[in-house]
Amino acid sequence: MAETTSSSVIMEPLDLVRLRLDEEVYLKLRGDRELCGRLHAYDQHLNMVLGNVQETITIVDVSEEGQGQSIHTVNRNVPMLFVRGDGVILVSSPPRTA
Amino acid sequence: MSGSFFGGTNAPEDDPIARGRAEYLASTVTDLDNRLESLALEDNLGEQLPEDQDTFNTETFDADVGEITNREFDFFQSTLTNQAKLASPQQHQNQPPPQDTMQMLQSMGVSINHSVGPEAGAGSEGVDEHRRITTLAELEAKIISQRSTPMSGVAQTVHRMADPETIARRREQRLEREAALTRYNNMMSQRDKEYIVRIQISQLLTDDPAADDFYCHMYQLSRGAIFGAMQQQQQQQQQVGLTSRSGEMTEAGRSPSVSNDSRRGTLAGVELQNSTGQERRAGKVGSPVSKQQTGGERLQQQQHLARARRSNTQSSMARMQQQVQRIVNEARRRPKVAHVAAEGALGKISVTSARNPKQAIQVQRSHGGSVSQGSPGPLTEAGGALVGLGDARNPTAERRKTLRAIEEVYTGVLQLEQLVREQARLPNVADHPSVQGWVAAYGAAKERAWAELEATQPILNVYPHPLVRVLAFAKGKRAVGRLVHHLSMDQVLALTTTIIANFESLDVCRVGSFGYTGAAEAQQREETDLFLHLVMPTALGFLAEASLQIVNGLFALFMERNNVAWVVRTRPALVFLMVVLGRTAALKQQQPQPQQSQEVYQAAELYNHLFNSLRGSLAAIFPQRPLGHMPSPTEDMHAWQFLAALAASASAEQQHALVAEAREKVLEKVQLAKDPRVPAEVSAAILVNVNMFLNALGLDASQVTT
Repeated sequence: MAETTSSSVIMEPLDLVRLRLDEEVYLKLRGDRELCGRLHAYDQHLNMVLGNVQETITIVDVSEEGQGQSIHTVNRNVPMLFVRGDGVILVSSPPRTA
Repeated sequence: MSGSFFGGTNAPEDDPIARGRAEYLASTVTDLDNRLESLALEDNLGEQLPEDQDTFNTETFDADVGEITNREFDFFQSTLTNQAKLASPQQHQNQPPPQDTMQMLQSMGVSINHSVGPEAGAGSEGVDEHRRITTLAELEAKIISQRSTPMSGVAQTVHRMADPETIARRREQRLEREAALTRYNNMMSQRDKEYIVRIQISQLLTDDPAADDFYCHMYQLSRGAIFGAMQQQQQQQQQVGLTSRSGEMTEAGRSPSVSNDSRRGTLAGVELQNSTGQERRAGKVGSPVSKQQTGGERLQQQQHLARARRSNTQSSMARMQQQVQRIVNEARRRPKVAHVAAEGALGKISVTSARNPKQAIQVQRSHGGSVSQGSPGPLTEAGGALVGLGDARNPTAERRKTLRAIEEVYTGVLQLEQLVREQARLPNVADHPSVQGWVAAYGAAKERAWAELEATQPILNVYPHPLVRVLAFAKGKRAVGRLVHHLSMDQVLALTTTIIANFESLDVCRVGSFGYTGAAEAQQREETDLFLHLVMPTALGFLAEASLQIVNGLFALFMERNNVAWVVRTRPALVFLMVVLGRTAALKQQQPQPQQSQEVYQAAELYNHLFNSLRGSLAAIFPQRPLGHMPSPTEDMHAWQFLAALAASASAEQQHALVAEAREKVLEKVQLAKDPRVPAEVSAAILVNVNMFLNALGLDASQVTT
């Protein structure tokens, strides 16, 4: 009986984002960027307000003649960040780093 | 030597003659207000007259209002001045400092010619007179400048405020700014402006300002603009309510909010913001007009100036307010419809606005079906499957279920808070249908949130208890903390009972909350603090009001369900026990027949039971501090407080036992306090803590001999 009352909320995909409010989330954005931070707010466009964010930008350096590609990442930390929704590709929980 | 003969103190010339003249005139009483103006309003960006007062401009060559109204306006002089202003900006930069009279005379002679030159048509006679007069004034200026030169540099800086040059210069600057701003005035009539404003405001009208401007409201409240924001809230509610109450705008209500810099977002506030720049200017220029003073202390004048300025701003704000109100009422009278169907036309025209945007996608949403027809069930089926597993077999599903419960609680809490805000707007009659509707909505929201917590069944076969799981999250603690404000006493009792019955399994009580290190410790401490600040106070507040019977019952439950010796190492448990013991002691004293009452007997029994279970392990309640770590005075405050509570209800024999066990700790603390390396405040705090315990026994730290 308790189960039926708690499932009265119809789960649509955005509700899963709602469950992650005030939790650490991992976002993948367009432009080879990833964000890891605490989700403070979101809306239907997936505009998000994140706190305590670490941004990781992946850069691929292509040397001439295709001699080899080197990949390196750039990190930066931002205390509070607003992300426009149309750049968000996926929202997930942060990868467990032991 | 009358004032009008010399002309008004218009834009000061670049030559010392006019400066001297200005200074001379400035010394007369009728010009006191201008001097004060320049003194007090030195850095103001251009002042504009409000529309209804600015009828002079066309005839008076942008002259300042003060000089126009104070005396008979001298058209001749003002023409002279304006033409001179146009013709001679370069002289101003090249003027030499007047160091001796001859040089001054020369420069003045030069400037006289220059200033006279452009206005050839002014009439030679007037020009000659002008020259003669200025010679007189030039002498005055010389005297004044001689007076001023012996001053030291510092004094000069100080004197700069009253320096005629500065005053004259600032006046000129101000007038220039004003001219620049008013150059393109009067493009639109007042009616045009009102029309535009009406359109803009009508677009912004909302039916529910509290909800639409919610975050702005909350921000203002938290920033401390409480008074202003409350007033705004009230006023908005008045707006939204019956239109018969619409005329009640008070100036006093607006002024605190006006003075805040976070003046935005609210319905009236938006308009105010748009027009604030103008209003501010209007308010400030209004003051020279408003003050028609003939003398008095400079300080008094300044104060009056400031007051007049402020009240002008307020009154213009109030006028704006009334205008907004008028527009709001008008718009409310004819409600905006989303669709307009003209008579005789076929079909409806939809009016797009912010509230009624153009729909881009068709989304079907029905409870029975789903978005895609092909798979009616996967989402709900998966949900059903996950929902069914309510225990640890599926931890992720478990977690999700708890999170969903928390979100349900939050939804309920938000609805409740919104309803409480709306409560102020309801009519006072109890039978009114809207009131009953409100009551029903309130009850429903409360039930919805309450049901998720499942606190009505303190003991379940599900481990851990749903309430405990909810409280395991920080946001769960916060949600519960907010919900308890709306719960009835019975519900609070049920909540407290559930928490106590499952105390061990709370996350804050997990294995030695003093045992963590590093980042985990910080997080654990944070969670514990949250718990102590948000959840415990209600429970404890409830306890503080409860009868001895209930207290005994909860005490017994606590001891029965939890391993006391183990759980007592955690701060929440210490706090809880301390409150229980304190309450018991207080109630015991209140009892009419202390020795014979059943409850008192029971309480004593419970106490003994507690004491016996704690015997031997009292030293463990103190937090373990890693060696070399500087002691912070408050880290064991809870422990000492608990010991004090314990000692207060102890019999003599029990007190002996207490002292024996705690002796080592007490000695250690006292020694630490006497250690010279420890800073004074820290050692004082340590002593205070230890004394809490010792005083309960009738001892003191000073009696301890190390």
